[in-house]
This record gives sequence, C-alpha cells and structure tokens, in this order.
Amino acid sequence: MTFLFPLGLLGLIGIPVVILIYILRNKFNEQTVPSTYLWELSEKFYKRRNPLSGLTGLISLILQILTIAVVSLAIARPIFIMPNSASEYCFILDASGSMNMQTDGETRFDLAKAAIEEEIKDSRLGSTYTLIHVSTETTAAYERLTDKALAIELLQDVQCSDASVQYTDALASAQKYFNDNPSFEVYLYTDKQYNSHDNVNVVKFGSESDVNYAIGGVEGSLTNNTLTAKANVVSYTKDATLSVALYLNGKDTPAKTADVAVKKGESAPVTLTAAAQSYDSFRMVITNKDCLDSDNEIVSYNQQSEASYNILLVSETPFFLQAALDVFTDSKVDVVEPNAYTDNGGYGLYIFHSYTPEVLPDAAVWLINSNESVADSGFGIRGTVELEDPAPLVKSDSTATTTRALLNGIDGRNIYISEYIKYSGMYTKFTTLFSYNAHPMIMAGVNALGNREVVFGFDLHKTDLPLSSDFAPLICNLLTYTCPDVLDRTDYVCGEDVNVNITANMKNVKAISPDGEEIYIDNTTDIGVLHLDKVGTYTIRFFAMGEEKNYKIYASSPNDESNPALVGESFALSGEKQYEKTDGTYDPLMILFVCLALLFIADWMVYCYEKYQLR
Amino acid sequence: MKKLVIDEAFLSELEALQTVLKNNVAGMFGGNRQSKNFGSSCEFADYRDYIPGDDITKIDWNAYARFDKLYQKLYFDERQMHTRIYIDASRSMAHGDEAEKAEQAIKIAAAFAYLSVCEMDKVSIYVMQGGELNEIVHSMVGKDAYLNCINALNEIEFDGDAKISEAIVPSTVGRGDGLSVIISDFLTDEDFERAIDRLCEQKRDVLCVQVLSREEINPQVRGKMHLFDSETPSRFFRKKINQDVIRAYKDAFKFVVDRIKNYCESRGAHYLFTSAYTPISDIFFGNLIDLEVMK
Repeated sequence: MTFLFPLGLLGLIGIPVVILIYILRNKFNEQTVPSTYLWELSEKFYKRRNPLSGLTGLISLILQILTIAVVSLAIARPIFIMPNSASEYCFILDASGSMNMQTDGETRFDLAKAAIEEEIKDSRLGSTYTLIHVSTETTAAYERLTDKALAIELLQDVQCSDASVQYTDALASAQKYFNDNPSFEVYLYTDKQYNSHDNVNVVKFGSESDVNYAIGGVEGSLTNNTLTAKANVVSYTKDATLSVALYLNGKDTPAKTADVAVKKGESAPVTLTAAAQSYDSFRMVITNKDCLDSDNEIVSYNQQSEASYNILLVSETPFFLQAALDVFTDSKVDVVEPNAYTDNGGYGLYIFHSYTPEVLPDAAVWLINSNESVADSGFGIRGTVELEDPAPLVKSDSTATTTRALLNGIDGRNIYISEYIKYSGMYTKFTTLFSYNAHPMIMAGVNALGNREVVFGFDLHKTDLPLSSDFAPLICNLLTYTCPDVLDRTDYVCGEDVNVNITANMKNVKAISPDGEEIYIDNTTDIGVLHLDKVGTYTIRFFAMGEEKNYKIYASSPNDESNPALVGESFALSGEKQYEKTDGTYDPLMILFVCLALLFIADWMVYCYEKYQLR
Repeated sequence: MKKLVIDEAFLSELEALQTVLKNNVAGMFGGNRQSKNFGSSCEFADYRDYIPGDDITKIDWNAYARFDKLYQKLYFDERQMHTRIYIDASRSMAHGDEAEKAEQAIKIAAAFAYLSVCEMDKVSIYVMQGGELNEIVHSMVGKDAYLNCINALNEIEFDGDAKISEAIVPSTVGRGDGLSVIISDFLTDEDFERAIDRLCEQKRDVLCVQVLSREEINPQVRGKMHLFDSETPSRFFRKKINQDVIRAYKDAFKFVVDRIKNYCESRGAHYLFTSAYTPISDIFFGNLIDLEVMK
C-alpha cells in the first residue's frame, strides 16, 4: 500500500496530542465523605447493564483517535493493490487538423471523444480523470476530476483545431502525472500511427485507406489582363483525376476548371488562367469529394490597393528624390515647392528637402537638410558647418536589428559631404545610420507625435550620395522603414503566426477569424502577432489616416494534416508502469466517516454533560 | 461542637412535645410498667399541678399557702427505670459543615432523656469513641437535674471512630431496668450485634436509632470520584460514578438497613431509621408510636 498524499499522515500526530489532553483532563475529583462503607459495599451489588459500559470513559478517546486516524488516512489517499478497482486516467486527445477527417459522417475527433466518454463511463467509481487537449496549445481541460458526469460534460466542450500540433508539452504533462503515480493509465487518442508502449495506450482512429486530396502552393500573377493562377494538388491514398476550379473575386461561378491526373502521394502542378484586368482575390478548389474539406480549397488575396499610400515631396530641387521614388515605389508621388506647401493631409509620407515646415504633419516624415527647429521633431538645430574639404561619412557598426535592416545592402564607404547641420537634444529613439565626426548625419526613429521619421543632416546636392550605389538601397530601406507593409504576404498555413507591422496611427487593430471571432492585436509594439488556428480567411482590420483598412489573408490546411496515414514519432513515457489501483470503491464510506464524526461530537457532549453538570 | 444544639428553643419544643405525648400516650414501653411512675414510696420526687380526682392527701398545703395554688406531691415509684442512651461520637457523625447527623443524634438523645426524666426515670448518657464508653450524664433524675446536666450534650466532641460492641459490652448496662437507646449511623464494619445481644441478654428494652444524612440516603455525586473516608483517610473509594454505580449504592444501602432492622427484630429490639433532617416531633409522634416504642 502506498499513499497519494503521504503528508496527510502528519495528521496522526494529533493522536498522541489527544491522548495527552485526555490524561491531563481526565482526573478524579477528590472528596471526603462521612463513610465509604456503603460505597465499598456497593461494589458487591454493582451490575453492568451494558457490557460496553466499562469502556464508557474511553469511548470519547477511542472515537477521537479513530476520527483522527480516518481523516488522516482519507487525506493521505491510500492506494491498495486491488485488481479491477479504480484507476487514475490521463487522456491525451489529439486535436490536430487531420482529426477533422470524416469517416461515415463522423470526424476522427468526434470518435475519439466518444471513446474517451465510453472509457469514463466504464471506469470504476473513485477513478480520477485528466484530459490533456493537444491543440495549437497544449492545455489540461481538467485534472484529476472525480466526477464522471462533469468529466464527460467538459469533454464535449473540447474543440478540434485545423493546425498541426506538437506533443512535447503533452508528453511532459503526462510524464509529470506518471511520476506522481506510476499506475496512471495514460491513453493517447490520435489518428497518427504510434506504437503502443507499456505505459501509454495508443488508440488510433481513421484508416490509411481514407481518401483525401489537397491543394497548396498557390501563386497568382496578372499580366496582359490575364490572371495566371498556379497551385499544386496531391492525392494521398490513390491515383486520381482531380477536378480543379478557379473562382475570381469571391464569385460562386468558376472562371475556369481543369482536370488533373495525379499519382498517389505525388504533387502535381495545376495552372489555370482567366481574363481579368485586376483582381482582389482568386480561389482554387478541388471539387472531388474526400474525407477532409478544409484542404481542398485555397484563396489568394491581392492587397495592393489596401497597402498603397501617397507621398508628398516638398522641395525646390526634387530631382534625385523624385527619380528614386518613381523607381522604388508604386505609390503616387506629388511634388510641391516649399512656398506652395500646405498640410491638407491625405499623404502617408511627407518628404521635406531643404525646407522646414512650421508644424510637423501627423504622418511619416523625412526631414532632409532642415536647418530650422520644428516642434515634435525630436531634435534641435545648432547651426550649419561648412567643410573645407569634403569628408566621408562613417557608417554605424551597430548590430541592432533596426540598424542592420536599415543598412541592409549598403556599403557606405564612399559617401562624402561638404556641409552639414549640427543637431542638438537628439531624441533618444533615433537610430544613427551614418555620422560625421560623431555628429549624426542620417538617422531614423520615432518623433514625439509617434510617427516614424528620417533625418538627413546634409543637402543631397552637397554630397555624392545620390550618385553612389548606396543611394538606391538606402531609399528602399528608408521607405520600408517609414511606411512598412502591414503584412509580408497573404498566404499562410494554419498554425503559423502572422506578424502585423504596426505603423503610425494604426488604431483598433483586430483580426476577424474564419468563424467570425474578433481577435484584438496589440498595437503598442512595432509588430503585433496573430496566431492562426483555423483554416480559412482572416481579415485584419484597422483604422489609419482616417479610413478603415482591411487586409485579407488565407490560412491553408497544413500539408502534414492532409495525409490520412501519417506516422508519428515515438510517444512513450520514461519509467516502468505499475498496477496499483486506487481503492475508489470505498469512497462512499466517507459518509460513514462523517457519521462517526457526528457520533463523536454527540458522545463528547454527553461526556461533558455528565462531567460538569453533575446530574 | 461549636453549635449549641440544646438551647431554650429546643427545650421549649421538648416541653410541648412532652405535653402532647402526655395527653396521647401512656408512656414509654408501657407494656413493661405502669404509667404512674410516681408511686407511694416515701421518697419525695417532685411537684405537679393538682388535677381534680387526684389523691387529696398528697396535696402540699404549705405550697398552697405560699402560692395560692394546688400542687400534688409526687413520690418515686418503687419500680424506677434507668434509661441509658449511647451516642456514637465518631467523626462520621459530624462530617460536613452542618454536622447534621451529630445534631440530630444529640436532639434525639436529649428528647429521650427529657421524656425519661418526666417519667421520673433515671437517665444516663454515654458517648462512644473508639472502643471506650464515656458517661457524660450520670443517673440523672428529675427535671432540675436534666436542666443542669443536659448541656453536657453540647460539649460532645465527635472525632475518631466508634466501636459500638467494644464500648458497650464490657460496660455496666443494668438488668431489666429500662430502655437502652443506641444512636449511630451504623456505617461500620464493626460488630455492633454483640452490643445488642448483650443488652437484650440483660433484659433491657433496646432501641437502635440509625441516623443518616441526606447525601448518604440519596447521593448526588457523579463522574470520576475519589472518595475518602472521614474516619479513616487511608480508606477510599475510587470509581466513575454513573447510574449503575448509584443503583448498586442504593442496593447496598437497603441491604445495610435491612440487616440492622432484621437483626433487631430477631433479638426483640426496636429499630428506628431516621434522616438527619426529620423533625424530632415526627420521630416521637410518628415513628416511635408506629414502632410501639411509645403507646
């Protein structure tokens, strides 16, 4: 016999304490009487009406000791070696995407839940149930629950995901329970192929012969008013001819269909074209019926229109910049002379060349050769320094991520300047990219308005930078920095994390999942993270520059989860399994223990009454 | 004995008792002797008020001349009795703050003595302590002597134990000349039966009065008790006293009472059980008449 909670036995210390109290309190009262003659004589007439009356004085003590012993043992939870008795169950439920595959109208996940329910129902009274839900995150739905009905009810609330899952955490949790009690009955309910182990019972669902097809690797390009959509299709179980349809812009009627012959387990490309001047999205669908629908469809979104922004260039000599912007961005660039500048809004980026506005606009801004201070810019002007001979700029050797990204592809060894502006009170959130004589010359950061800002401390006409090979990558990097793309791409796999670039003035950033759930994304950092756990279209919605922006992405089914006959890695616990069962059959005896406690209280009251009331 | 048991109030009570008894009974142990104790001997004993019908030759005319009231002269009868009263003066009789048993014993003794002197009998009162018998009132005769001697009862020291037979048997108990009263709680292992035998052998009228306290008759103690004997501290009774023990105690009590009573009856002696709180009048006007000690 062992104990689940041996510390409960510390309660037995109470027994000697009770005995001590009994000895100290149980004194005889002394009294002198005229004669003890009659009392002594009464011994000859003494008859015990109750054979247990001799124990009367000890009943209280015995009951107290029994109560303490029983309560201590109940807390310590002794485990007896009793076949066919109660056990501690740990159910590990695979909630990966492949568990959504259907057989005879029921998913593998539903079958697994039904099997767990059956196991709970068949278990002995007093058993405990632990359910580990292995989804995109591994969580314990409940631990050591003893209520069968509640365990079954909570089991119904567990949902299957569409993503691939990792068993590392589940294995660690199961190992913890197993270490606590090597007699733990660990069950793994999955559709992956695992070998059963002595200490883990693997219950497999689904069949290798289940028919499933999948589509992935979608790409789209628009040339000459023709959309070319490419994808790869695969049949996992058998050779098949798959019918693939192309839908444009969310329409229900296919723009194009094609039949593709694929061999079992081999990926086959499929290309469909359709006439289109532009498109917001296209969808490619395998129309053949199989056991998993979610991997038969894939959607590609074009978010160019949402990602576009306008640039206002304020300069008397905009030649270099205008040329560079025309080449490196698709955005519309408006150019105005400084005396014509008025801030009417509507631009995502303002570039001021050799001109300083009276008020900074509430958007990303480049200040090039600004020789006057402006509020909220994050720095002040100490004056202009003219060099006798052109001097080279020094490239930052910082290894910070931002610096590395901004200097990506830039050599920076032959950039000379002949005049520069000294700055003061530099805002600490700026990153210096180039400097001269320890004075920052090109820097990037966030100004007091919370907008990204780039500062050049020299005139582009008084440097050879525009003519160097570094100019193009520098402009590209700075554009990416000041007006980053919200999303890197639109095609994701379920289970991936989406990095959302949080730009200036992005407000109320949230994502709407395929089933309509709203997920708010942290916009207090540069990058917000969205975890994708459903197959389908996610909409990332926010407000910027006065309008609502909607970026759509598609999370496709993971390739691994499309394979109906996937073989898993080993799933085994360390340690030898034991077969000591919890004696749960006798748990209802707790009622008896409670009755004993009540008897004890009643006896104690009678004892006190007799002792102190002196009837 | 700090408390004065025999006082004026008690004596008045005795006087009233004697008057009532006189009008209702002939006297003590009337079966053995005539009610007229005052006989025709020449020895003057006392006066009493003249009652019409009395022998006018025994009127004291000198007293009439002095007090202008008729008094009858009384003379000792030739069959004058000798009442001997034995009081158990052990510590058990005076245990507790009230010493109720001792007080009751003294009152009973005083009452018997008074009634006896009223009958013109001689009265001797003895105190039993250990195995000794101390005579504290010696052959008292007449009311004057009673009033002079009776205060000795207040001086009795109740202490030690009392061996009734050891005290009475070797003593002079008289022969066929009256009543012997033993007043005790009789809660002893000692052989008091020999004393009764001795008195009965001497043709004495014997009355055993057992006086017990309220606690002895109906004990109230409960729980775990260590009871010490007041006379012999080395004796004790240690037990958890519950209903079963009380039941056994009462059985023992009945056994003791019955044993004394039966023994007395078997020897032709009288036995009176009384509690320490029974009024004296009830004892004499009730119990003793029932027992035919008084008629």
